[in-house]
Amino acid sequence: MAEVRVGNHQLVLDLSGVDFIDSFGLGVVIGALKRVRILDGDLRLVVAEPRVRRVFEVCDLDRVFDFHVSVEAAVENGAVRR
Amino acid sequence: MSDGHPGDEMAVADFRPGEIVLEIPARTEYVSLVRVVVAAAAEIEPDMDSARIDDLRVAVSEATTNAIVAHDLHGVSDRIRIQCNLADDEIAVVVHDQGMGFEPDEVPILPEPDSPERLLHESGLGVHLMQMLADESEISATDDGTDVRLVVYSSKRRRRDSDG
Repeated sequence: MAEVRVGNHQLVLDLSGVDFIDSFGLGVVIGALKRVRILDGDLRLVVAEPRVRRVFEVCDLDRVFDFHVSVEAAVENGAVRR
Repeated sequence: MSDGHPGDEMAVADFRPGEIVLEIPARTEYVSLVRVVVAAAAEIEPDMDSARIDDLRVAVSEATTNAIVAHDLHGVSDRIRIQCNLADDEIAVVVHDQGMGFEPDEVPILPEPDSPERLLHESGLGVHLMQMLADESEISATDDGTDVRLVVYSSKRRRRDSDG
């Protein structure tokens, strides 16, 4: 959350190298989203692995997060820093 | 296997055909080992879909993590037992802890995703994941702790069930 502390509130979290996530990982990502939304920011996710995306979907978090196929795609959609 | 921590001895033993029992120290470093063993066991069943094995990995990981937390909370040094039963058309995994019990009814119900309160739930997703990812999930109190039973069906059984 160093980016938030220096004033960047539109963030991209690149999870393309992640092939496993559990509830602890989800909690960390939710916590990050909560912190940037308090500052009128947003957090976009880059998720490559279907198995990782499925864990978000099972918790209905695909309705909370924007998913993107690449950092470039996420940045084009408004986020300025990763 | 031991790295010098008390109770770190780990055991894998076959008790009867189709049953594998793994006992681990109640430490988070061992959760990834449990995932690997359970996934490898599930892969023995040729009709087990790889996506369902992924689901089982996550569900068992959650149950094992909860068991470790329960042992830690109650200062229990005993090992956690993970029992896999491979049947013709399913794999059932029981994670047994001695963490003084668990009340599944006390797990908070998650708000709707569109609710602002949804983001207040940074934790508490583990039980929800187990219930959603396994074909059967059951949490039951035992004399000395909790059993979490997770069952994933083979694709053959899912086809059969969907055909009625």
